[in-house]
Formats: sequence, structure tokens, C-alpha cells
Amino acid sequence: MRNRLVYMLILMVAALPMTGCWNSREPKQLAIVMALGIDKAPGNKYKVSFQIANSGQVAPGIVAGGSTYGAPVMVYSGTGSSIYEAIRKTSRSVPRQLFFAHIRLVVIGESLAKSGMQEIFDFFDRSRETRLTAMVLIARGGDAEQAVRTLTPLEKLPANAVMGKMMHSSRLWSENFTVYIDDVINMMVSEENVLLISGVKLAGDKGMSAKKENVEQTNPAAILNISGMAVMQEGKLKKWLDGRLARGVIWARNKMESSVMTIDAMGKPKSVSIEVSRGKTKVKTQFANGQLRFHFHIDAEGFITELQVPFDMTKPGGIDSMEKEWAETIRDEAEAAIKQAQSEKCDMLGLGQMLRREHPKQWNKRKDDWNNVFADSEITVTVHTEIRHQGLRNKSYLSNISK
Amino acid sequence: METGKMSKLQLFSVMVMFELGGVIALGIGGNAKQDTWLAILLGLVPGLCILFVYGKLYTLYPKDTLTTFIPKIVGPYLGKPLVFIYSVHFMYQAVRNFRGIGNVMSIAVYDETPLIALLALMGIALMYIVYQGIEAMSRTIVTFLIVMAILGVIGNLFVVFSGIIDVKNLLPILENGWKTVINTIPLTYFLPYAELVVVLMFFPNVQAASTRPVVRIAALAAVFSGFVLSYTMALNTAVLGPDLLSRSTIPLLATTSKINIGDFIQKTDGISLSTLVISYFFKAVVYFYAAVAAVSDLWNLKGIRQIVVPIGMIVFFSSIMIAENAVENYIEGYVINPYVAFPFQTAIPIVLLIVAWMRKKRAAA
Repeated sequence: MRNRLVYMLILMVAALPMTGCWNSREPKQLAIVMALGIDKAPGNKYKVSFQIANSGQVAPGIVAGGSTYGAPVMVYSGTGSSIYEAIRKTSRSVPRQLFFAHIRLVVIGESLAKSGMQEIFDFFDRSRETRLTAMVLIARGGDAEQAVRTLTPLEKLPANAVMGKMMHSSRLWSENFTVYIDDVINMMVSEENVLLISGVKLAGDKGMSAKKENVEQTNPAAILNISGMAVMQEGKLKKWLDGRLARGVIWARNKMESSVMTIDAMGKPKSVSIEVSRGKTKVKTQFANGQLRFHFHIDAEGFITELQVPFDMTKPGGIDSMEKEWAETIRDEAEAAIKQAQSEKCDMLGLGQMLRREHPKQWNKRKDDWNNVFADSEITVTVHTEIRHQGLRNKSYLSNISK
Repeated sequence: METGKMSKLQLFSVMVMFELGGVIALGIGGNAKQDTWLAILLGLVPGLCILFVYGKLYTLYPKDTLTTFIPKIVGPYLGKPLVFIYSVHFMYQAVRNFRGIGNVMSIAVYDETPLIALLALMGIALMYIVYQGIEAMSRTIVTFLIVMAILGVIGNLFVVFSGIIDVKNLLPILENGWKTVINTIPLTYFLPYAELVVVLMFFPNVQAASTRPVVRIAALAAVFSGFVLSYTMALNTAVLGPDLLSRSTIPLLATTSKINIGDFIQKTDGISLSTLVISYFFKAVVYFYAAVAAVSDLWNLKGIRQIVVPIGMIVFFSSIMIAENAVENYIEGYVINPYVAFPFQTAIPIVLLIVAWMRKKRAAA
């Protein structure tokens, strides 16, 4: 009997420390940060803007603890000498504790990118709450706060919308590729220290971007677009790459997923559209009399999606001539990008790291003066293309229009 | 002396758990960068050599633990002090590892919970397991090793299906030549292979007809855990890249935090944290058991139960006082500790073996 009492007592005492986490936080006490914008503020400070999901608006009726009125996200900003100081300072104006485990997007203002942003990633790297899998973008021609404040149609959460745009533009258009925080850090610590980060640009009426009416019309007054790739050397924004040059870099870096290319046919420029379904680039390195030689070989595969000339695909040699034309177009693009990179002495093609991996001894000899070595190296490009099919029609109806 | 028995499979599990303890998630051999996996594998060579020394000692004294054969080899006047400092050594290692669990938990999850609260709960479990004796302890370890294996398989599948492995990160092999790798081998030898001196406290409890299969199982366990560690490090390197790997406090945590399958399976930190806490905890348990057994041999006690709580208290309070912060514990426990432990793990056992051989020869002559 006495034993039983003792056991009961022990069990009751044991239950005391089992009441839960020491620093437990309930979902309704949290403000879930979806995106973070970082700008330069006067006096060597950072201005940090948080896009916080308003759970009641995003999923009305499902999530408790959010308000069902107002915009789907709220944006707060604060300044501080460090990112974390800015975060904690902002708590004064946010009714809940900021929670960072769900950050999907980090937007960096262009002026900060220009003046150097190497220091800002330590918080994301170190904190146990943030993930390395947040996407990094640069607010082109504006500040990050404005980009983060913009409301977007179709997707309620702007962070998800921008992420979706980024994913699709890299998958379907391939003038960008997605970069996450750990990629940024890995690129920064490599000897050449060249970063390629996609840009996000606010177009239209900038004053309207943060208003709810913006998303209540078919033609939003302000819209966020993925635009170009920022080339950063030693942590500072150097230039923006767009269009052909950007895609050329994508080809050279073997990041091609899918894209649409237009080529000339029957004397009419850009009259055939080809969807690139596969692209692979291999780089070979050669050393001749101390001279470094890189050879790019691009293998591309695709199919015809649109013809604007009366071209007969079934004609013998028809496909072959088109493949040749297409290969030339790809080569021009890649060569233009390579030439650009070499003239800027900026290894945006990732050749340094490739050399380090495959020929560490040669790399060690050259790494101190890599930018010049890269600029002086000889780079050649060959392209092999395959057009797999012509779609559902052999000839365009244009062939049968008599006049 | 503890008289409980353990099977060969249990010995294998205890050794593997002990070897992986903490190291699997914290990482070792940071200087070798992308060649860390190689350094860990090569560390196995001296590791097996020292295991051979332990095995020989065990073969000469198959019924004795480290702390009971020491007086037989060097005599009671030198033996007893030696047994005493060995028990202090085991206690110290238990303290370091026990504190390590607390640090890791507060870095990774419970950043506002006081260390003493974390360690108190762990400490009760630690003492309870050892209080139940070697049989219950080894059964528990087998169970948790199965849990760890399941976590390991799931974690690996997640990493593979997330598509985050980039084998290019492992290149170039031997970027800075053999020299860096060879310089790292002592580190990977000290931690974890040389720590196996603790098995000398277990060997006589293993049920076997002769000593040979026991030593063979021990070697197998060392090789197996060496391969697991090497593989884990290679995986970490491939996912994180050598830079992030060398800067991470808990590389395995960084690896699992990158898991993302279709935006659905993500934030799987639980996998690496469970692995870390389980393995680290049982490493402390094994060291704690060794300390308790050594003290019981020192005082010629019949069993270990009566001193579990007193020594447990020493371990618990020392682990709070031993370091001001996590960095200090890391530096003292990982960087300086190997040199402090060197005599206990390597030098003394070798000397003991030589003396034992000479004694045997004289007795035969």
C-alpha cells in the first residue's frame, strides 16, 4: 500500500516537467514571414521588410487565429545595423512574434546589391529557424521593400507568386536560373566570386502596387516580373544580363531546361519557332603551350511548334537545313555570352570551378590571376541539334494559300 | 565487477552506437574539406591497429576488464592509481559527451531552455539505464540502433529523391595532395576509433566460447561504423559543398534541412536531430557505464548499482560546470581532448601489452 502511494507520487511529479516545450509558441502567436526584403538604409544600416501571411485571408475558415479582413499579406519594415537587429526592432510594430521557418524569398534592393551585400547572408546561414532553401532575387531598378509590398493576382501570397514566376521562367524560358541562399554562399566563397542572381522588376504604376485594388482588376496596375540576371563580382552588382546574352550564359552553364527559339527560314527572319526540349553542354579543357583552351559542346533537342512560312517539312533535307540553322543560332547566342564574359573579365560561366574540379594542379597555378587567365583563354563552341518532330502537320496551311 | 552477460550482436550494436555517437552528425576531420570521407576511411587503419592491441590484452586476460587486469599486469601499487585515473578519464569523457548533447539540443531546437533543464531530464535517463545493468543497457542500445537505422534509410531516401546530391562537390579528390589528408588521419583516429578503449570494459561480459570471435566482431563493428561515417560525410559534402560542410556546427542538420520533395516533404530536421541525440546520448551512457564499472573495480564493490547515483551526480554537475559555452566545450572536447586522451587510449594500452607479454615470457621461462 505504501509502495503504491510512493509510485503514484513519483508519477505525479514526473508529469510536471512533461507539460511541453520550454519556449513553446502557438501558431496563433506567430507571424509567418513569407518573404524578406533587404535594402540599404542611410548610415550603413539595413532596412528589412517582412511580408507576413495573413492566414485568415489566405485560407478563410480553415486556419484559426488569422483575421479574415485586410490584404492577404502584411508588410512591416524596420531598420537596424544588422539584419537581426532590424528584425527584433520591428517586433515593436508587429502584434505577433516573427517566425522565419517558412521564408521562401529573399529580395535584395538594387542599391544594396550595388554597394555590396556579402555580409547579409550570415543570419540566414546561422539561424536555426531560417532555411537555406529560400530563393534569392534582386529588385531590379528599385528597392526590395516595394517588391515585397506588391500584391499579386492569381496567387494570394506574393511570395508564392514570385517563386512560381521564377520557377516557370527558368523552366520554360531559360533566361534565368533559380538561386538559393546556399548557392549564393557557395558562389561567394569560390575564388572567382561571381554571382548570378535573377532580378525581379516592378512594372507599371508603382504607387498602386501595395493596394488591394491592384489585384481586383484584369489588368493589374503594377506587376512584378522576373527580369534578367544580375552579374555580381566580389559581392557587388556589375551589370544586368538580358535576353540573348542571358540565355547564352544559360547554355554555357548547362542550365538549359526548356525554351523557345525562333530561327530564320525561306528568307524570312525568325519565322520558325522551336521548342527546346533538352539541352546539354559539355566542356572540355585543353592546355597548349601554357594557353588554356575550353571547348564547349552543346547538344540540343527540340521540335517545331510554329511555322510562319510555307515550308514543307517532309521535303528531303528540310529538317536538316533547319537543324543547321538552329545550331547556328544557338552558337551565336553562346558565343556572344562568352565574348561578353571575357571582355568583362568576369567568369560568369563557372569555368574556374570546373577547372578546379577537373584539373586542380592547373587551377592552383592560375587561380590568383584567374580573371585575366579566363579573359585570355581560347574558347570554342560547337553545337549539335536534333529536331525530333514537326508536330501534327507536315506543312503549314500557308503553303496552300494561293495568293 | 558487473556480471551481466551480453551477446555478440549486442556487443556489435553497442560498439557501432558508440562509434557513431555524436560524430555522425557533428562531423570530424574538417581540414580535409571534400576529402574528409577519405580521411575517415584511412583513420580506420591505425584504428584497427589499436583495436588489435585491445584484443590482445583481452585474449591474455579473457575474464578481466581493463580495470581488473591493470593491477594484475603492473602490480597493485602502480595498478590502483592507474585504475583511478582511468575511472576519471571515463568520467571525463562521459561529462564531455553528456554536455555535448545539451549543447546540440540548445543550438538546434531549445534555444531558450536552460541547459540544466535539458541535462536533468537526460541525466535521469542516463542513470536509470546504467542502474539497470549491462544487460538492459545493451538491449536498449540494440533497440535504438534499429530506430537509427530506420531513420538513416528514410533520411537517405529523402535526400536522394530531393535531388540535392551534387557529386561534383566531391571533386577534385586530393585537391591539396595527400598531405592534408594524411595530416587529418590522426584526428579521425582519435575520434572516434581510439575511443574504443572503452570496449575493454565490456569484453569479458560477452558470451563466447573463445576470445577470437569476440575480437573479430569488434573489428567488424569498427569497420562498419567507419564506413557509415565515411559515407555520411561524403553525402554531407555532396549536398552542402566543402565550404558549408567545414563551417557547419551540425553538418547533418544542414543536409536534412535542404530536403524538399515536391514542396511537400520538407523541414525534416527531426531525422538528423533524433539521430544525433540518440547516438550522442548512448555514447555518454557507454562512457558513464565504463566510469561506474571502473570505480566499482577500484573499490572492489560487488556490483555497480550503489555508485550509479553518486557518480551520475558528479557527471551531471560537472557537465554543467565544465564549459562556459558551446564553443568552449567543442574546443576542449574535440580539439584538445584527443591529446588528453592519447595516453589512455593509445600509449598506456600499448605499454600494458608489452609488460603483459614480458611477464608471460618470464613465467614461461
